[in-house]
Amino acid sequence: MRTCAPSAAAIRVTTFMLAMSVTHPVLAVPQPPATVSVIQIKKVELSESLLYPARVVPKVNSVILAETDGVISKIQSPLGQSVSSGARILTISHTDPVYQFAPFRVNSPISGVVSSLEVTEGTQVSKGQRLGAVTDPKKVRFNIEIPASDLAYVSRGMKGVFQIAGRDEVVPVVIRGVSPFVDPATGTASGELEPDGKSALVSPGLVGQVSFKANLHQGFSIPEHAIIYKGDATFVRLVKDGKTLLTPVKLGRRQRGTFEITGGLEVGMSVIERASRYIADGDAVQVSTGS
Amino acid sequence: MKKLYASPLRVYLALALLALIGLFSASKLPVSLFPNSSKPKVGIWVNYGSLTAQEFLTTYGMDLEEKIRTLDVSGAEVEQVTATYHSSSANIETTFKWGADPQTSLREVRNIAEPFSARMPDEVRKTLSVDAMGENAGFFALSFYSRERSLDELYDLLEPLLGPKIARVKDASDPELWNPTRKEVRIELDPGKMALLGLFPKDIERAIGQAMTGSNGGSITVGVNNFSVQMPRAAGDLEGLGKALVLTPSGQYIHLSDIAKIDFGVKTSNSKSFKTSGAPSLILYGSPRPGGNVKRMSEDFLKIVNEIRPSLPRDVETRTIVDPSEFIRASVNNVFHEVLIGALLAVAVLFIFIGSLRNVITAAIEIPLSMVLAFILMRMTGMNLNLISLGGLALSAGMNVDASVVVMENIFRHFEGRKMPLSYAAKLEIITKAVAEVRFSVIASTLASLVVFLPLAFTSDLSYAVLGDLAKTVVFSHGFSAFVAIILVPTVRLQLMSLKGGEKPVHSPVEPQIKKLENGVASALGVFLARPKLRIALYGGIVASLVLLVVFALPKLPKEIIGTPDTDWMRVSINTQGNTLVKQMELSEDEVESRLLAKFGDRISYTFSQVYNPNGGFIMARLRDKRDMKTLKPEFEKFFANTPAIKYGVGSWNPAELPIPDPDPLKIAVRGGTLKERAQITQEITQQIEASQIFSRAHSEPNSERSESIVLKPNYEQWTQLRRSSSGNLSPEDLAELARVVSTGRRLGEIELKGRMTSIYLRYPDGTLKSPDDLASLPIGVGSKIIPFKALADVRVEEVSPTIYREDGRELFTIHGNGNDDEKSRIPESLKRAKILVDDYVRKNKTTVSVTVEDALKDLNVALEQLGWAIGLSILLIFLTLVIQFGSFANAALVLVAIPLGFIGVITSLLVFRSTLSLNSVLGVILLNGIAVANSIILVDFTKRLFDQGMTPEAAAVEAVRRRLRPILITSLTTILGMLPIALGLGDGGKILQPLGIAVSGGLWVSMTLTLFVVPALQVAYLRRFGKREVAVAETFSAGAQAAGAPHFEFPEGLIRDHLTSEGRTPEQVLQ
Repeated sequence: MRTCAPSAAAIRVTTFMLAMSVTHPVLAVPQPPATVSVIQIKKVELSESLLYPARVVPKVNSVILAETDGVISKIQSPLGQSVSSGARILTISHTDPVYQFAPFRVNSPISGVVSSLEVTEGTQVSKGQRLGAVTDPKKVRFNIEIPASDLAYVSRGMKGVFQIAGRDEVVPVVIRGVSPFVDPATGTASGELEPDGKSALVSPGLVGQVSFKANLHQGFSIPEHAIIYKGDATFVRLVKDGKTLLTPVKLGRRQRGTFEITGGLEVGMSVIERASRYIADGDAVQVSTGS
Repeated sequence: MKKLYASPLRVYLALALLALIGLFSASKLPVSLFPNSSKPKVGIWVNYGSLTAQEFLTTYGMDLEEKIRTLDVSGAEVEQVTATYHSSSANIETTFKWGADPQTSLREVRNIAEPFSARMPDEVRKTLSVDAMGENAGFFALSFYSRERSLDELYDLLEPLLGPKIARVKDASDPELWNPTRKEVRIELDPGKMALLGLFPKDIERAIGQAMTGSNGGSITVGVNNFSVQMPRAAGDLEGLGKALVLTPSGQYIHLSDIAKIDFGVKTSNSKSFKTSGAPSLILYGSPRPGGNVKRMSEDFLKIVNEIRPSLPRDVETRTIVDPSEFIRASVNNVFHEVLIGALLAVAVLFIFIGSLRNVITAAIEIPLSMVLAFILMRMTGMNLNLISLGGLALSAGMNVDASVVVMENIFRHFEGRKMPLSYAAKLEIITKAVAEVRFSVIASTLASLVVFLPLAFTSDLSYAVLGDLAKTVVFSHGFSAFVAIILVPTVRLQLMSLKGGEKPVHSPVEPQIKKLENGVASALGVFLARPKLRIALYGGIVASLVLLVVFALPKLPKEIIGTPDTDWMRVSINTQGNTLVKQMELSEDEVESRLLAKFGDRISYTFSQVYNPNGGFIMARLRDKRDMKTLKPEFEKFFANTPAIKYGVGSWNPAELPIPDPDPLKIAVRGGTLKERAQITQEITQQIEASQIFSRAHSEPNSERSESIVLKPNYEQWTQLRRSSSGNLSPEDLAELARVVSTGRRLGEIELKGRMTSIYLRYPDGTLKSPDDLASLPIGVGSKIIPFKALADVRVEEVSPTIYREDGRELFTIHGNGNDDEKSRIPESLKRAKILVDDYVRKNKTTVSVTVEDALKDLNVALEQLGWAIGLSILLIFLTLVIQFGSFANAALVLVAIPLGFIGVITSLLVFRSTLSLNSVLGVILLNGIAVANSIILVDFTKRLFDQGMTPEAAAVEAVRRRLRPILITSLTTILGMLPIALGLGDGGKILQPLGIAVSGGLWVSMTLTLFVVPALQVAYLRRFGKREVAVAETFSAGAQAAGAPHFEFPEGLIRDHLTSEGRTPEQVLQ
């Protein structure tokens, strides 16, 4: 069956023709207003974020060398053992008859953990040979390489955080020093950081990322996709009294999908982030509350 | 002939044989949705790496485009060359004219592009490829499930059976058995360890490559045994892969597992995903390759599934989700049913007027017979069974009866008044004579009605491509009808005569009612003729409505090239922004789907959803009832209104085979100025069109929106100092490669795990890169230092130069606008508003860039215009024939009045039934003109003769209507009812021929009714003023006049006259 009954159709045709003959342009059918999602503008703390890969290195690390020729007769503190300063790590038996094969005790110079052992019992060692190392895992520092272009922003005493990708915990760090020398091979200058405070739950040898906040200030920030470009000029759309208003803005630094707005916005303004369709200046819009 | 009629067995056998061949041919005819016509498109793709778009364009692109544009090969003429130059790649599309051979087209473009590419740099040339492009919207999907097996087990069972077979399906591009739980090997590199050791992805690739290769250690022969010495590859399994040896810059080997997590997990890489009714299952999925036949592809898949089904365990079940072949077959069958119903209705009309079942059958046997015989010629000419060729059969069904009726009528007439019974020899003699009388005229008139299609041959390629099959089938089937009428009808008649009661004249079962109707109409005409005011009112009404309809309604009719068949699939496309993973899109789509099912679930049978990239997907919902489509579509459009986060598109889904253009109604071209200016203006106008809601959806081609990319710029000054290790230096490409592995990952080939080929992906942990800043601070180990990425290369976000788009060598941007269904009626108005908007924009901005609203429907408009000329030509031909026949311009003009009356019917019924101005409806008008004029000829001719015999004009007109109503009704009603199923779209029939059906049946109905009053009234007025009795002419009508003057006017005599006069032959010629 046709959905259109003949009588209804006839009326339709008649009204249609009447409309045609009386008013030429068809009355524009009112469309529902576009829905938009908005951001309320407020001052937030902004900064430039400087990111560098950082390597965790022990702050206290003692390499143990053999002080005499001999054979390792016993290892008292195996790898991973916590040792206090002066505790015995291993014993070397002299092979030189001069010493009558007397045992020679090797003690830890520092408190820490045996972090490497390069010998086993029975190994013959010679004077000056590297035997292992004792490291204090609680005392670490971080090495970073700062590109020359960033050197102006980074200075001693600057605070930041260290994080390992995929882990939640962050370690506050502070810059202890920056080398004034730029390595021509890498274009970077080395910097050294320390944990800011006591806790440092990171082990030496890891690589993570250090981020610093430079140039801390108050300002406005909006997502990149809320910016409207017209040639070189940049704008945002505000919602004012339920209608849109195109407003020029000055863009500042761009960072992680947002732009700092350095001019054109005031606290309390509503900036349109996304719209269900293109909207013209002055159009009525409906602000969506959902996600 | 005589011999032929005397040996019925021979005739029956010969025809039966032909019918059998016909049926066999029909069974072998390929079935498709649209005619076997093509408009090939060939694409050239090239990646120009280090060259900029502008450089490539000026150095190579322009020349290449020019060479293709001037391609001059018969059988492959170029219609348009468009080229799109993106920031690092281009594609040049060549569209050939309708009817061009796809193979030749592809070969010709290849022959130009491939030698031409020798001029390009090596790295560019390697990327150049030339291939046919398809615009096929269809795809096939079938799901496998089992209650007893996991999807992985099911996959293991099916893949070996299906895999090799589906790979051989010619028409499919990359068919696959998709497993939602399909696993892959993921090598997730630890960024810290990579940096500490100073490793780059290339080191890992090399290590894996070595681990995957085994070595041959020669062979040893011991006695009769020959032992080959093998060192199998290290990476035979996951563990082995972990043991792959990675060489660090310091010259040390480490295991891959030391620096990477090696996982065998569910595929998370950003490919596609499917679901049916919300549940994941194994899905056999295939889409046609460019130029592939979607129906054949689907049938091949089904055949493969049916082949392996017997070897599958019982618990494995299948369900066809999307099968275009079924859809196409169903659409074609639907139309076929409509043709049959139409033919039955026509037969019913015959019965009402003829009365005898035997005679009806004798006349009607012609319909199936000529159809079946037409199949033979269709097969011989390589046609296929499609909606258009079936339309031709539908059209000819009604026309075909006419020849039989003419032959039968003449036989009846010759037996009239003879003393029965006659001897067999006498009967044979009479029948042979009767047939001989009309033989020439039947053939001539049949030829004449076929000539109507001649103007079609001179119309545009598009009309011919679309309507050519229709014309051919009409020619084939109608041509056969004359043959059948002359051979079979007399033979059958002769035999019927010999049967008991076969010699008696028969009357219609509703004879009294018909008589009543005749008298009723005649007296109504009498009243009409007696009241001048009524006449003036009717004339005025007709002229006014004709003017109103042509001036206002005609331009408002939605235009389309040809309708699409009904479908029960609704498609909702979903587009988001900002997702980076297919998984995110799946979640959004699941939510949309649950909303869809909550709202419309009771009217949906099942759904099929697909995510094809992180920001794009669609849900297809199969409706329980096809008829819901009309009401549901607007509801869907309303329900899926765009939100700030998601943009929807709602449409019905239809697997199209023929690239029938379906352009957006609005096209604006932006030319001149600089590329940047053009892009900006395009962007602004596009936005304004959508913002002002002139069209609810607007986009530009190419995309004019500002786009950005991350640009890596190595700090080359410093690279001279850079030394990675003694083993090798870093190169800038290593940085790009690193960025690639970190961002999108890299596929390193396949490994056979547990007997199954599994992809290996090299990647960094998810979330390593969240913004360009993360890339800038990515750790890189150089020597003993770990430095940030940005120390070696600047990472910047930069605006990308807009894409260059060229049409036939001219650079431009185009803006396209379209809207929902409910906006369609406003299109002409919207186009005007768009023009005003563009003019305002140009005035306000004083731009030098040229912005013009162009004719988006150019193809269609050209085709319609040409068909318009064809209508004009056919009217002119009819007029000339009439002038020759009547020897009078006035009478010819009177007859032609039926044509504008038909227009009123056509436009009104197209409007009322919300149909379209399409190639089919215009073709309907051409056909209508011929049929409508026939009614009018009957009246004018008969009135004139009665007038010549001495009647007053009024009496002559009233008498003519009374006596000629029956033949008018019989010809008109067979046509109207024959077309009715198509016009109504009965059952769940295809809409494709609906405009044609509506145009013919609606137009003929109105024309017939009005003709009965208007034509006699005008003729009376003419005869009163200028009428001179032409006795001499009346006398020359010897046989005809005799019959005309006979007191009892039996219908068959009328029919012959109507039929033959309408074909442009005078009664004398006919009856000689």
